[in-house]
Amino acid sequence: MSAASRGGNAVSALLRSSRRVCSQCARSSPRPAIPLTTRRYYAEQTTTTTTTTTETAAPKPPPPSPPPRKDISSEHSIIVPSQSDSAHYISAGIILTRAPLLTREPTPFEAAFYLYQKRLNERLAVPFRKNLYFRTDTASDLDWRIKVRERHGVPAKDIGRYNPRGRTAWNDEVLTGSPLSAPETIVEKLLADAETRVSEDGEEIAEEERVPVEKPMPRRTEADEKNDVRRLDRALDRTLYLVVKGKDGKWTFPAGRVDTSEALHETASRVLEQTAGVNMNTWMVGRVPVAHYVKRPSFGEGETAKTAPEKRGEKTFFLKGRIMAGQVDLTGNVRGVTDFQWLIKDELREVFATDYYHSIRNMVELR
Amino acid sequence: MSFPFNLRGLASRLLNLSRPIQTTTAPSASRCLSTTSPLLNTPKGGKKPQSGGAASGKKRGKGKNAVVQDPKIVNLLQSLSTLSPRRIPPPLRMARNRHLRHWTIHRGWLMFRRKQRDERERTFMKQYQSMSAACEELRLTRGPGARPEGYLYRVAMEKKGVYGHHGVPIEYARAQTDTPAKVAWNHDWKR
Amino acid sequence: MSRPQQVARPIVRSLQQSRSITVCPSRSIAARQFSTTANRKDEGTTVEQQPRASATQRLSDTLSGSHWTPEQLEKLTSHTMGSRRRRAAIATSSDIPFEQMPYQCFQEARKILNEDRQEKIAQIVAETEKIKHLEAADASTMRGGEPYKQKRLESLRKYVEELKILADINDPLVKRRFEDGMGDMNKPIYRYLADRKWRSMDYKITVQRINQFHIVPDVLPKFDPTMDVKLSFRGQPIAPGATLNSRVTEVAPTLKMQVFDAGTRLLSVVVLDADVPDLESDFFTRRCHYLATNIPWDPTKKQLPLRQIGTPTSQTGGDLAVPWLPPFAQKGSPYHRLAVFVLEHNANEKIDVTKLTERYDGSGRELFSLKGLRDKFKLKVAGFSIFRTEWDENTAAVMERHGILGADVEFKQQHFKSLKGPRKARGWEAKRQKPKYRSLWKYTKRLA
Repeated sequence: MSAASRGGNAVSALLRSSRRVCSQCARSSPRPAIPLTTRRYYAEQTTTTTTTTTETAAPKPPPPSPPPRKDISSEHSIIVPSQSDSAHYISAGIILTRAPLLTREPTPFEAAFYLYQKRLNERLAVPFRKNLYFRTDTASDLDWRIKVRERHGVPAKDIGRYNPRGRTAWNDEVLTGSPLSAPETIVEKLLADAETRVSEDGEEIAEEERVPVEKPMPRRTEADEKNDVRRLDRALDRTLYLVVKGKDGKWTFPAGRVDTSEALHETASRVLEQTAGVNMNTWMVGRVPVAHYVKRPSFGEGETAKTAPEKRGEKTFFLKGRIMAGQVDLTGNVRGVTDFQWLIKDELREVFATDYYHSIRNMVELR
Repeated sequence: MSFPFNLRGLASRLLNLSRPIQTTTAPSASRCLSTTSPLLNTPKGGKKPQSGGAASGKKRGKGKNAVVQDPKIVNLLQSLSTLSPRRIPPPLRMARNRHLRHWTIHRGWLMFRRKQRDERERTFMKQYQSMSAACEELRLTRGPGARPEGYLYRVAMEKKGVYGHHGVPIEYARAQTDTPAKVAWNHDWKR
Repeated sequence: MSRPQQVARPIVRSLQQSRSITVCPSRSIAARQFSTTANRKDEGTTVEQQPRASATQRLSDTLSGSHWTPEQLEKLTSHTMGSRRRRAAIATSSDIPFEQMPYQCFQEARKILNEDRQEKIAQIVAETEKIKHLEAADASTMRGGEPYKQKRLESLRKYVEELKILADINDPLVKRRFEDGMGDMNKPIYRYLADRKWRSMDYKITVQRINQFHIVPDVLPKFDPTMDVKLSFRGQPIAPGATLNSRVTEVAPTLKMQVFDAGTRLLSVVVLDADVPDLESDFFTRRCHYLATNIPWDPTKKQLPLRQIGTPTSQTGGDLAVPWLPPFAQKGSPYHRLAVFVLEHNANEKIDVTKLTERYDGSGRELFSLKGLRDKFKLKVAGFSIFRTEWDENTAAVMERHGILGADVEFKQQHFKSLKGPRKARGWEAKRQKPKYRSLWKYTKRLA
């Protein structure tokens, strides 16, 4: 390489370092005073009328290797935002979600498969050693004996009547239509096993004197039965999303304009407080927007059509929040919200306008 | 309670002065396993150990003819003997139809898992795309007010306070359960 | 377990298979329901009273001339024998086909698999539609033109083939039929399963033989087998690379061949000896022992008896170019590698046999070059197998019967005298032979 070209490389390196590319947003340092065209270093050399001092300092033609970030600098010159920023309001919204509280209901195949595997395990495992766990002729031993007798001698609580060591050990498959694999049956069996059958002094307790074991709460709550969409204890195994009804009667996520001194997450939490009250234990999941909705501005006819839109559009950026406790309180809200609902993802489609739903549908969760 | 033990200890000391003093009475359940093996290795020519009442977690006699008397140890040994390779059930053997059914079930399970995994990954991909599109839009947005282009994006990318000590509230660590709590949701939470 | 039952099991199984096939002829993939093609019954239920008579009849039909008497057959299919479990199964289960067995987990699994199969079938239909559209479309309107269209069509067809395999791979009945060797090799799923099975072991062995016998640099610079070729002499299957007696190899072998891709193609078979000693150059050359060509072959064909090719009774077709010359190794020569190559014709073009005959028969057998044959006729090596031969007690007789000269020749290793002089005796004792150790001579051994 000749000395002259090396000098050219040095100059171009200087040039590159002087470009001050913002490391976070990957664009040139925002200097509003310099027009966009002056940042075009290598694209066209001769046509630029406003030649900056750095360009005059570089008499060499462009170096043989294309400079880094050339695509971005050309993008700067090409992408003039089709909607200039004066044409949009900026809003921040919050998608407040309640995470599922319950696990998923097992599918019929899952339930059947677990029972199948339990029985195979019975065939392979060492037999239950009763004497290791119950001392002979104690109350717990008597209790155990009663329960095992009622299970036809099967130590396992929820596999049904199956003996892995008998003559019919091969017959370990459950027939179709058997309720044995259903989760309700398993709960029932476990509850029956938890009941105390023998008193402390070794007497068997009569059926009417037995203390029943407390049952777990049902998976479907009262709110589910009534289909009360304002309660948070509905659809416990699904994610719930908070939607509110605005002044215009449309259902949306809570959102509001970003103030000049605010960032998105500050606006989002302010909007949530203004809309739904303070009595909610919420948490903002990061500060990065998870979805956005753009309402296009409408332009009038004539000369000033491009610069001054007739009606400004709106860009809404949604952040994600989680609610851990509390409930929405609309009394005295300053945003004019008239109603709210906690909906699962399938119901969102019904209440939202089509374009609104389409812009947020990708962020919804699996269940 | 300690009275008879002391007496017993005294008695053993009187009876066999050459042996070290025995203070524990019955071996605790957790020590059973460790105490059995040295007991089995007592030298044949040694003196017959003096039994001290409840302290007879020892074998009587010598060598092969040792008889373990403590019911707890007997119980443990019995249950451990069930674990011997001779008594562990053999591997499953299946006839042809049974094996084919098993194969079908296995394939069905694999298919089920695959469907679940695919759906999960598809959701994640969609969510990522949604975030990515929103961030790109934000990056090309000027404002609010006189703020330059990309200002809001830079602020959104800041990680200050996002991670760390108070980054994630402890309530968020609640695991999912099969059935709800008695009060499924606290609607009356006040700040 | 009693011995008759052991014996009966495969018979009963094959019987059931044959019935299942006769009951339900194969339909097209899309029309076929999941797992409903065969009415195969539970192992126990096959010996119901009603079908038993016909089963026995069928069995005796299929085994006519075998050593099973009707009484024995009756006993084989009787429900009073077998294990307690088998009898219980026979007694309790009625005539239930395998896929309808009322087991909960099994049925739920079938539902899942059936759902997936329906998805795959819908995809196949959609892709086929796409192919049709693309075929009808004008290539000039596309950006890439005709090459783009062809490439796209090709990849779409490949995808459809993959989907066809995926639609059937979870069917237990397909698995059963394949394991019984009853699979229809015209269907992609059975070809896929056969290919997978072949590659799991036999292919690896073949590749190992190619490498350890140095076929690859010696005979051909490079090749990778794509079809299954197994050898059997006089009805006995032989392991690849086995050393065979020359009496066994006197007649041409039978090839058991299986191809794994659809369609009919033309094959050529070459057997060559890669270790013919050449005294003049003190090296080894190659000799052609057999060459047949224009053999039509498709996945459903199994056996190719080489000795029948070219005879009027031949059922496989094909032309014989160079007849079988029994492999022989003269006394003293190292083992000879007899390599069997199956070559695929380019674009199903026939080869002129007379050309091959005049080129390779007679004296053309010597100095045979497989690479030359392959390049001249644009063939592609598809299959490979190998056996070895050595001088043994029958070789002389075989050579005499076939008029091969040289049975009385014996090769011997040429010995060269070393250029170095003889070495002095060394060691403790040799050292003490010297007069310096005269005093020790009475203790040391005197070396001659």
